[in-house]
Amino acid sequence: MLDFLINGTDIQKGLFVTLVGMIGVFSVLILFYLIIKLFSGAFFNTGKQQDQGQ
Amino acid sequence: MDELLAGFTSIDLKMVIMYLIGLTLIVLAIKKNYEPMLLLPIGFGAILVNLPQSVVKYASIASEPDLFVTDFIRNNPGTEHLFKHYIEINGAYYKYEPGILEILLESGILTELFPVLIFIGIGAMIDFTPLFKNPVMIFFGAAAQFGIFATLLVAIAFGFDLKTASAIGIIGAADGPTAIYVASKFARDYFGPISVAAYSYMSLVPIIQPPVIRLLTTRKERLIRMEYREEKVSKFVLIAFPIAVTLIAGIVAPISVPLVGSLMFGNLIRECGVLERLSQAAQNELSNLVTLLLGITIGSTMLADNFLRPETLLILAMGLVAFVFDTAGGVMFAKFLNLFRKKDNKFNPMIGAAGISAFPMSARVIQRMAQKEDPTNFVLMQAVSANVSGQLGSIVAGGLILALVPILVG
Repeated sequence: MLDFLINGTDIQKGLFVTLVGMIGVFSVLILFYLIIKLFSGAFFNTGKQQDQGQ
Repeated sequence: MDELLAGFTSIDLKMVIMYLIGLTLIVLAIKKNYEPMLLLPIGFGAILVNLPQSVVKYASIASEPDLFVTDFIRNNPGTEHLFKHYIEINGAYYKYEPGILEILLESGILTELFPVLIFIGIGAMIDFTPLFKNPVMIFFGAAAQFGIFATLLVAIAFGFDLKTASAIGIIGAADGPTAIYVASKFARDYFGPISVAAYSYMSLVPIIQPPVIRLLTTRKERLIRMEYREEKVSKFVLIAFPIAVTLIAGIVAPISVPLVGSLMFGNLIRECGVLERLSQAAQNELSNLVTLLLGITIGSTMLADNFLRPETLLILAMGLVAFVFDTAGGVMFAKFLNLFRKKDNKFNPMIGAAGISAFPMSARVIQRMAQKEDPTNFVLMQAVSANVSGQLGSIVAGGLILALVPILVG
């Protein structure tokens, strides 16, 4: 697959970068989203409890 | 006598045009307040470097050409880059001593030091709290990077090679340091136009975005109200997030670590709570000093012979295309998501446009547009969340391009 692209035209390479780039950006930000959700679920309540305690 | 008059006799039309371009940038900075912290130093740098004999770029040039280097390059075209500090004059290569701006360019930009230091400052300024309260907004930070890739394809269609097209596309990151970082790696010949386009269009966000948004949305959509959750974010989350992001970016796209790592380092300094002095220094002294040097150094790349060519106009035009596609990508993505959301829980599609990295300008533009339609509609916090996500999205996109393109080009 990559060999085909390396020998391909610039427009083919550009389309590949566009496709993989957009998927990559979404994938990485989905990971960040999951991290935020994980941290939020695990620690938002702790924050609230600390507030109430104060 | 000739030496005394050298300043007058060596001025040509191209230099005069560059003085006018420099003056235009200075006027835009002062009169219109368009990114004055960068456009003014860039404009002044453009004038400085185009003064007769360019002393700030070439402190001194040998009086005789280097015959060995000249013959070598003549017999091996494309090997100019092997010889540092040589300048071509009428087909012969002369050794030169770098001037102050050339030293700054080599030590600050070509080493990528300035963009990384700027990112530490930006990281120290960013508050991710609004994003933690609206995590779903992070997806707009991804969608609004569409302009980068669309422009990359447009640039290829106009005949640029993949590396240069990628550097042009990255103007759409709406993120000056990322554009500089990628351009310094992929398109040093076009460094000046790309940097100027990146910063100019960032300052023009209030002019570029509204018409695109109005074109793609109905008034009814622009009136959509969005709920905002007021929740407390624990300090642990604020501290753990930059560390986690750095780890993920380092594993997914190791080449992006200088950018992501420095941004997150700055953010960690801000959020840790025990480095207030360093946080303030990063936000103020460090950012101001590096911005000052960065601007004038970018200006120093605007030598008349390099800048005044048709490609510069093309790059400036494609920079505009990139911002338009960014805005359209964000808006259309929000409209797409609305297809799957309940009637009372839809996104105001304008929020999607705030997914670009121009922070906080884009968020303010969206809020202003929302209030223009309905003075009681308050979407600023959601727009800020998307805007902060754009910061993350743009450096991730930059990192992916830096990782992908060399594999394909070989």
